[in-house]
Amino acid sequence: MKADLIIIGGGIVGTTIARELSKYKLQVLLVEKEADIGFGSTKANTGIIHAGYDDIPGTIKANLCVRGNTLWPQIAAELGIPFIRTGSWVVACKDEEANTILKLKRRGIMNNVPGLQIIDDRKQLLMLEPNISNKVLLALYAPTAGIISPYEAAIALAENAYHNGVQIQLETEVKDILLEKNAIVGIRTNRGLIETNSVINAAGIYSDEISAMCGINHFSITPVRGEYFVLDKNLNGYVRHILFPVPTPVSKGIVVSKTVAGNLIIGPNANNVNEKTDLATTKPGLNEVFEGAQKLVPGLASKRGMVITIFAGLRAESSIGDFIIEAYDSPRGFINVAGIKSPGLTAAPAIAEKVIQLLKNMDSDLNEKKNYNPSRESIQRTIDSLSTNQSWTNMPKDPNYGHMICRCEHVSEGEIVEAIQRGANTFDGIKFRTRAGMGRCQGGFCTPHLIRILSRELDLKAKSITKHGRFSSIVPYEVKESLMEER
Amino acid sequence: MNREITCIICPIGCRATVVLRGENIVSINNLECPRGKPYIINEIKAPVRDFFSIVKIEGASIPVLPIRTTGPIPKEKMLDCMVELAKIVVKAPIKIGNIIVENFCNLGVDVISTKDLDAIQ
Amino acid sequence: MQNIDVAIIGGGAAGLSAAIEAKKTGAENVLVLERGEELGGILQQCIHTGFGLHYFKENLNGPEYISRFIKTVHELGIDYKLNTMVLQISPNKKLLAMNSVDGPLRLQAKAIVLAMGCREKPRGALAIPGTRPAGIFTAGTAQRLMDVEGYLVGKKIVILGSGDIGLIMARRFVMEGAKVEAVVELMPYPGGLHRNVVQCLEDFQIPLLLQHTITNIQGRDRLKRVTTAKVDKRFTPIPGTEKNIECDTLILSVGLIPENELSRGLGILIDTKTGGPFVDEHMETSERGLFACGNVVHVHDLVDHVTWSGEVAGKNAARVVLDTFPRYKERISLSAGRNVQYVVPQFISGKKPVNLSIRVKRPARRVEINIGNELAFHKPVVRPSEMVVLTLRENQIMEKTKLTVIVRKRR
Repeated sequence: MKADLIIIGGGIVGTTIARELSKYKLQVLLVEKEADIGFGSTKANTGIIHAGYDDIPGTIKANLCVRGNTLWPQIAAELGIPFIRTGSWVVACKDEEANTILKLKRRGIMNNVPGLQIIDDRKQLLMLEPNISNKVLLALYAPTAGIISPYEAAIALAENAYHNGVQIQLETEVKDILLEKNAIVGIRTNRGLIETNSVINAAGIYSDEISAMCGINHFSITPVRGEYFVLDKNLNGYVRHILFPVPTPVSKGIVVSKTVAGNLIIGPNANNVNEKTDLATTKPGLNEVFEGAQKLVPGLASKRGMVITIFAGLRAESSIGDFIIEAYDSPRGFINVAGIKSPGLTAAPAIAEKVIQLLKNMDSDLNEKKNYNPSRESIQRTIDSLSTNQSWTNMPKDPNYGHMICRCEHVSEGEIVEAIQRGANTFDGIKFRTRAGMGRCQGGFCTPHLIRILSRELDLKAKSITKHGRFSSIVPYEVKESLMEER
Repeated sequence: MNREITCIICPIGCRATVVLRGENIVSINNLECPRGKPYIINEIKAPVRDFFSIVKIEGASIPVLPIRTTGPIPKEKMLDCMVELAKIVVKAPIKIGNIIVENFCNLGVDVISTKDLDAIQ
Repeated sequence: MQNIDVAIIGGGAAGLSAAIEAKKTGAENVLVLERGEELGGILQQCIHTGFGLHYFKENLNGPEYISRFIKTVHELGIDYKLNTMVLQISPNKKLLAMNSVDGPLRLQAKAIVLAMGCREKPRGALAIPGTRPAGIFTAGTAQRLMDVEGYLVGKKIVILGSGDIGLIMARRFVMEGAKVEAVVELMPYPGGLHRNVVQCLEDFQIPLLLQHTITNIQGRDRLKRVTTAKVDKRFTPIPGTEKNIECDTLILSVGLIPENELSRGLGILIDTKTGGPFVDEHMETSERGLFACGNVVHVHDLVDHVTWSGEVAGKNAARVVLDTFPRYKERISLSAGRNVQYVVPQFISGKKPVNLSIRVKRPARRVEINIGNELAFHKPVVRPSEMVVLTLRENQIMEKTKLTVIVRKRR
């Protein structure tokens, strides 16, 4: 196998770069070690498109965050994914926090964040956010902040890149990068050798290990775990903006926000962990998150029963402190895109631009394609086609779009089949593309249907259907098998 | 020897203590009413249970057919019966009440279908 | 827009008996809308016996019990639609439903019966910490996967919650060759019926860990182990009592929630104690002509009672259509007092006999159930797992506006 350029990592960073590169006449291959796009840090974060006042002026982060924020609306529109500019508030409830708010605003102005405003009229604050703590004193309002679904975004970016010629290989883990005379000649994976002269390292929390394969060791990545709660859609509208507490030096703090699907999300905390696979939530961590959220929105105390799921995600915290986006003289052809933690999702489109710039500086052999198509058709949602009053008769491509499988999120069989045709091959893959199983019953009712549909469409035995790849089989045995073995 | 048995005749759920000498019941203690006595004696001498399960079915919309026996079976035979049942594969169509195995494991009860399942192409 | 007399949302035990009774009472055009691929609802996966002991005086399993109603539905020529999801109901009784044959269905009904049943609480509601591997199922999902789809979800099982479905699944797992390592229950007493504790756990020597909970879940791909711990009186895990159990499957049987998303959309009033709509003795909700029955009203432990509540709802829905529905001016509210979780119906007229369903909060021996100040019923024992059903005759009701139900030790 051969490619002009290989991107390692199918998270939000890798897929944004892939789509950007698909504009050029270049044979690009994206390799991802998991069973699907966006299965790493991308699937487990708050999904916020930050305004850009947090980061220290002059850092790469600060520049790319503000730039990324301006790029997302168009990208989301092209990809057919929701992006909602809710605006964000940093909320001060104590006098001593007011200073930080002022500092943040100054920082924001230096970072060229538009529209920042301090709201210090308590009445107005409580009117705009009726469920916020009545201890609120003032808030920094950033109108450009918004929300997105990060896994939907990564999947959509990958799909669009694929349609523009990028090859994608899943369950492909890079074991080594092959060098000759200070230049890259290929990579060795669990699936064999792939020849290439250029590698972009977008491996998230593993980006230090990939970098080390090229002898570049000047940074390390520490996984920093954040824990979250997702609450029932019946709480849609409970908060209207993304609500941040006043940040501490280590973290932007525990956020209360709605999601693009209309759920309420609260989190994350920030704890260093030893293992890059440690995605376990913990009792103290979850308590910390819920209590933190209650400080901003005290009414949440009575909403614990409306929690539908909990999860944890890992941030790639680099020892450098800033994003690492660089090319090297030795080895030639290697670009690090590492240490991309928050605001990585926001910055991703700007990171991709920067990577293109690095590539152009390297050998400038990038020629634009004529037939690049930036737009992607999203999966046709039966429920949306009903609410937009379009005549149903010209909506369904096949009757499966009338058969509702997920009763909580109203997902039809047609949508699920379409998701599979677009590459979903696991439960989580379907979930992230269609929301089936993501509602209040968390797959209780649709699990048997999803097994049936996946096994039919992929022509697989039910026991080969997994939750998220590898050994995560959902129904590993058939009844009577083990009874027959006994005799 | 003493054995503890929970009476299930009424919602009280007395925890009866049965004093045994060999196979013989010497006394039954801690029962609040006399109604549970026959049940407790039965539980000592010859406990029986309802038997129900599924068997594999071919040619139907689902791969398993729910079944039950026409009467209770000895408790200690239940797991053996499951192994016997695992060997059975029936073919659709099948009607509720159809006998699947007569005189199941020589226990004097039949295994019957508890669901209608049509044959599908 | 299709016009119908009585639209019935849900073709399970409650919905089918409502449909049958509506038709028998004289409603001509009765339509059952069922989201599953067959009629019968959850009973189709309840292959254990013990159904119908009260209603039919026979010992049937779930599919057998419900087949009798399905047969009657066919005999009476009652119309039904399968694989049909009701997406919206408006208070003027317009419905929007969807299936693959008709596409969107817009219906106008004269009366509606809500019979959507209930759903299971997922892991998130308990916020059990740990990882998110495959191998965690709610009991009903595992039951469906085993007894309808023919899959065994695992071989080393831990069950959290000793409600009836959890207990019944414990036995099913053992019978199908899996090992049940433990059933873990937070409360100091089991959550399910007594009979099930004996026949599902004791018969197979499955340990029942009372006053225990699960504090951690481990495993990256498939579940590897769970941690149990003893809890104190406030249900907080006691440090030092943690034990790991190696297992590949965790079954959650931690409670059922009446499925009232459609009811909520309608704006009918929901009782926070039952999780279902407020109903009167006719099973009418706070909206006229909108009835509810079965587990959508409150979670029952016996299907026989579900059937009966469906019959009441169906009969009265038909009476609305026929314009013979009795509306009483009198309205006595029933409320839950000491050691009572809820009482259904929440409103009665006091003009006719009515069956009250009472769920207690805590088990108690030798109790007196007081309904208002005048009436006392004696019970040898009450438990949260076993609904108390009392018949109240009209001449027993003295109070005019409000009756409080309390359960206390007999004096």
